[in-house]
Amino acid sequence: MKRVSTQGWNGIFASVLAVCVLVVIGAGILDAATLIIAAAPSIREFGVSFLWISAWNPIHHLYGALPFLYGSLLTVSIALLLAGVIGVTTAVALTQINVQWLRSVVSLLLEILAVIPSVIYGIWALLVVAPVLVRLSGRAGAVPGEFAASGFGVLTAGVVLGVMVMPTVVALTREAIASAPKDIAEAAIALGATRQETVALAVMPFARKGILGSLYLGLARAFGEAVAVSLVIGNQPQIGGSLFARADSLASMLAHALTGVGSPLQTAAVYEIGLLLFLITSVFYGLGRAYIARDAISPRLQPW
Amino acid sequence: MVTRISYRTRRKVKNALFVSILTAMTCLAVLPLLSLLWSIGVHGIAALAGLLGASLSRRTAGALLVKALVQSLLTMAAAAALSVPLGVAAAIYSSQYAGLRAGRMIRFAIDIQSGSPSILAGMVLFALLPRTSPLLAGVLALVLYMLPVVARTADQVLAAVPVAYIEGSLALGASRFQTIFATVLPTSRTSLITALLFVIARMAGETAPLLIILDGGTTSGGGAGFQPLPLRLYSDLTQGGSFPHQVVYAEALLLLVVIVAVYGLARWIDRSHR
Repeated sequence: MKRVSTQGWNGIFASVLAVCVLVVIGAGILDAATLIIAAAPSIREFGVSFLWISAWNPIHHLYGALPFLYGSLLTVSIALLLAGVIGVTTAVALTQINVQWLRSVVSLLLEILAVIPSVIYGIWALLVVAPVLVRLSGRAGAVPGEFAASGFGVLTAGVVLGVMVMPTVVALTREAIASAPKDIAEAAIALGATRQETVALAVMPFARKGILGSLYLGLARAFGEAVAVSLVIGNQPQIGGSLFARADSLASMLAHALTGVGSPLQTAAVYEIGLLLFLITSVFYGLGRAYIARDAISPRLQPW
Repeated sequence: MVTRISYRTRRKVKNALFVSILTAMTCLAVLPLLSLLWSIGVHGIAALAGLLGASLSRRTAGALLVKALVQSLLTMAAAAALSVPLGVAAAIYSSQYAGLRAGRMIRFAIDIQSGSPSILAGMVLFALLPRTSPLLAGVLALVLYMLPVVARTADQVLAAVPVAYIEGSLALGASRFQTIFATVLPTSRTSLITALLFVIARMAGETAPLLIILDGGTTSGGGAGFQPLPLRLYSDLTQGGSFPHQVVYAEALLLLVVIVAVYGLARWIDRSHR
């Protein structure tokens, strides 16, 4: 009798939990469905050409994603270049250079870097990054006057994005390096290889996949970052062709596009931009996940 | 002989170069954080000291600051109260009940969701409920963004419980239900609390989901409406040329202190119970 009731409770508990799973996954489906439905008028109006219309013109009711794709691609490339080079070498340093205090201090600082909200990055960008970049580029010569005046543009946004993505890249690359087989690296050292040779020949070949995955996840994060970017990118949907020109990215346009009153078509176009962003981040996130073995990641204090 | 020595030197020089590049890059990686903490800290402390001065308008500014902080904490508490139980329950299912294939599919779905940008949560809610109270809308947007993150984090913590413990409990005749409450949850309690606090620390500063719901925070004019701290900060920054620098820096410092405090708490729990 008792046993039956235990079994009964167990079943009820399991079904309650299953409902919770359905709610969580249902919320995601609701997300995608809402974006598609809200974007429908724009999808009907422009079709695939939405991707290469290079205007965002409320007067002529012409809306296209190209300027925002351009802004996103450029800023994300700068960010990935910075975070990739600095982040991966830092991760190598943290695992290969055996100084305990350096290791714990740097990982602590990087973890804090990961919890700082994007508005604060935005303020830091206005306060420090923009003026520093203006001064540096002024010293290098040949800077457009507009950039020298404000410091707003693709370059500033890309640098800030790079700093924001770095903790993700460092944490995941470090996991990838840590899960490379130890004995091979030790064998290399025993054979008389230097640190550099060990890393290049016996560690990196095993970590390459994980590093690629960390870069994909960083890419997904960089694409989706809205608030900090919208504060320094200049918010102008144009294809300037220069790192010093103002632009607008997919995510940063969303941060300011819905606040103004627009026609229904404009609102739908904004939602189509959102849908595009959703697809891009999902693809890169999925790619990154495919490259990174799940149980290789420590569950605590994940910075992404 | 000569060539051999020079080869050895070349390798040593190469290695020294490698180590110094690594060190330099590590310093470069840490530099932004130090610069950020320094600039926000210096400006924020100066601004707070200014606001503590006697002038009446400044005192109202201080009151607004406290109001924004309280609203922020309330929003966060409400969002956490909704999303933590739901997310942890989903994680218990995916890590303890679901079979291998179902578990993998659930995890994949939740993973992809948790990578979706925070700004989309606000947009979706704006489309679903365009005319609702800002408080409710803000909380729901935050929940929509937070839910998959909580579920994924909790799932990873719960999946890290050694299988031998679970099998031992089941072999002794305990049901799944008993195993979860007597073995799985107690074993992973500390990690679970730490991981959830870390999620909350990240969510507390989220501006983007609240942004679109509250119409950029500018409609209700100043402190009259509902404006959690991150949102207030953003609207102060975007109001253009004449924004009161002092208030912005004070708000930024306040937000930073709150978030680093939650993070510190998580670290401390993690340390002291291991």
